[in-house]
Amino acid sequence: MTIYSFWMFDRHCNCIYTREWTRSSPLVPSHSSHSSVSSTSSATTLPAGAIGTVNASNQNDSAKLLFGALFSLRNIANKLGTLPFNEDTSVTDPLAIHRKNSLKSFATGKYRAHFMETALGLYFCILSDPNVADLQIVLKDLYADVYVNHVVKNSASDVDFPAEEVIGNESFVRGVDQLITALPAFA
Amino acid sequence: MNTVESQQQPAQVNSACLDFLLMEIVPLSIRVSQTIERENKDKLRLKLEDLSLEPGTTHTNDPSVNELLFQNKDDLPGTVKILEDELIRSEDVHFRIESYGFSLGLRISELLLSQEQQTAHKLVELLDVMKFVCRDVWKNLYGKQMDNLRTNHRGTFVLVDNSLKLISRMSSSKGMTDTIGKAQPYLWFPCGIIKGILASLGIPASVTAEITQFPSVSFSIQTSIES
Amino acid sequence: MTIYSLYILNKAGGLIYQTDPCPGLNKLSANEYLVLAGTLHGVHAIASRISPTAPTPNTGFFGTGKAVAGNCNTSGLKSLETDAFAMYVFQTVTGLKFVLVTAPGTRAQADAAELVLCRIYECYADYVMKNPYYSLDMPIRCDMFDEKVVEVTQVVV
Repeated sequence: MTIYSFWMFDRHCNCIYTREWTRSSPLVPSHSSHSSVSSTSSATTLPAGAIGTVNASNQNDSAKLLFGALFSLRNIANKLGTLPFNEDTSVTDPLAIHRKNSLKSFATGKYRAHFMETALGLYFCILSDPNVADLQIVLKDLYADVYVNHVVKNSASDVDFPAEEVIGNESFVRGVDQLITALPAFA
Repeated sequence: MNTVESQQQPAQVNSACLDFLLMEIVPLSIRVSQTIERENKDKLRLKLEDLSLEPGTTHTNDPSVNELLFQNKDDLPGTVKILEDELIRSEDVHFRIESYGFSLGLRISELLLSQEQQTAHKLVELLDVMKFVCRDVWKNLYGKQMDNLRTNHRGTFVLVDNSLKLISRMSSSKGMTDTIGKAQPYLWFPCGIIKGILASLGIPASVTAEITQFPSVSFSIQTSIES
Repeated sequence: MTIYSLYILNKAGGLIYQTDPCPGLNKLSANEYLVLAGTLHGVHAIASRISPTAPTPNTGFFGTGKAVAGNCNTSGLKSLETDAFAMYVFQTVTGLKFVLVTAPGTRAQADAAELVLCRIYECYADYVMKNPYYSLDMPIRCDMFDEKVVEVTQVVV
């Protein structure tokens, strides 16, 4: 059981955060025409003792492919699925009738991608081993605890990222690591 | 913070909303300074045009169309580029932020002392006033009391807050020195509050703050009163 | 396991068969189903390219010189879970894709769905491939195949 990586995309379809815990990097490398452009989006430095990379693959093809796959599958889920309208829940949850069917995860033989979309269009995605069951609660904690506390409430951090800007502040990186490395699923 | 009407239940506001509002203090004063500077430059340019020392260029005043709320082209909503501006260290911005705190401080002392008549009677010595600031004022503003109070009994006090709420969540992607640099202007606001409270009680003082160990802040208060 | 729908996609990603044993999904127009099939075909391929683990070295697949098998059932999209349904994809070595949409379920359901899809594949091989009037990659219009599919899906439900 392993967790390979964590990705965040914003509503402008840009990859704003990447954290990879794999030791080798077999991901698709970026085209040479793009890699020379940005000096601002170089990999963020990690606290000592941590493995893997932070923000090293944000402009890669693999980031774009992952976003495309998530976006398409999310649209399929919205279009095809209906949530049954339950009389009981509509009392406690008046917005129930507007809730759309949302994608939770997809899997291949080699990995499973867990997905969560926030109300403002932020995508949270964790790639793990196919055996890892359900990380929806983890994704929600990453959003409500780590992202809100270290990005939204942080007066020194952007919340609306211009092209190729990423989340680089130390407390956010630390918060993500603390949450994920504490999981039983993390090898 | 609660607003108190004497007969009704106190109305409550989500403290996160107030935190976000307070986060805007520094960017706001920088933008005000930028606008004043720009207006001064324009006035100067118009004056020079009158004296026909410069070729006349029409002064366009259209606001930017797409998303810019301000005329600085780096300053997009949702980003914090405004904190990179050099005006952040100017006297102007410093004074403006401190005066926001000062006017707040003047009123807060009225509000808190009117609520509890006993406290007002107990404020005999300067030390009691300081204790009032540490306990009641800080409790109301930041939900916790000051962590430490030291004095030299000659009118100088040092108040320490181990985790000042205004800056505790700050973290810059450029590292700790940058974070501390950006947190400094935010400290002028509580300095102004303390100054305002002391002024409303008739105690002239000067207040400065420094970050000893992020996020712990120490406020130094110099009054001219010997106690 | 309630089966909502079954789709069969040809090598190029075109929808060649569709059946809806149980109601439970939104009704879309014919065009939208074709778009859906094309999207699934595309995402299936993309999913094999974003794998975080290195592909297992496979010297010369069938002597073609390609490093990885072209039609891979292990590295392409296999399953998809949402609040309202679960989708299972089975790709054959020939590039045909069988897609089953069911009510959401557990890991055990994934194995059961795989079996159902294998059985449907068998029916396909028997009643479509052996049908001399069926042209390859065209929409399937074989009555016997329809009956067999109904039989298989009934047993499961």
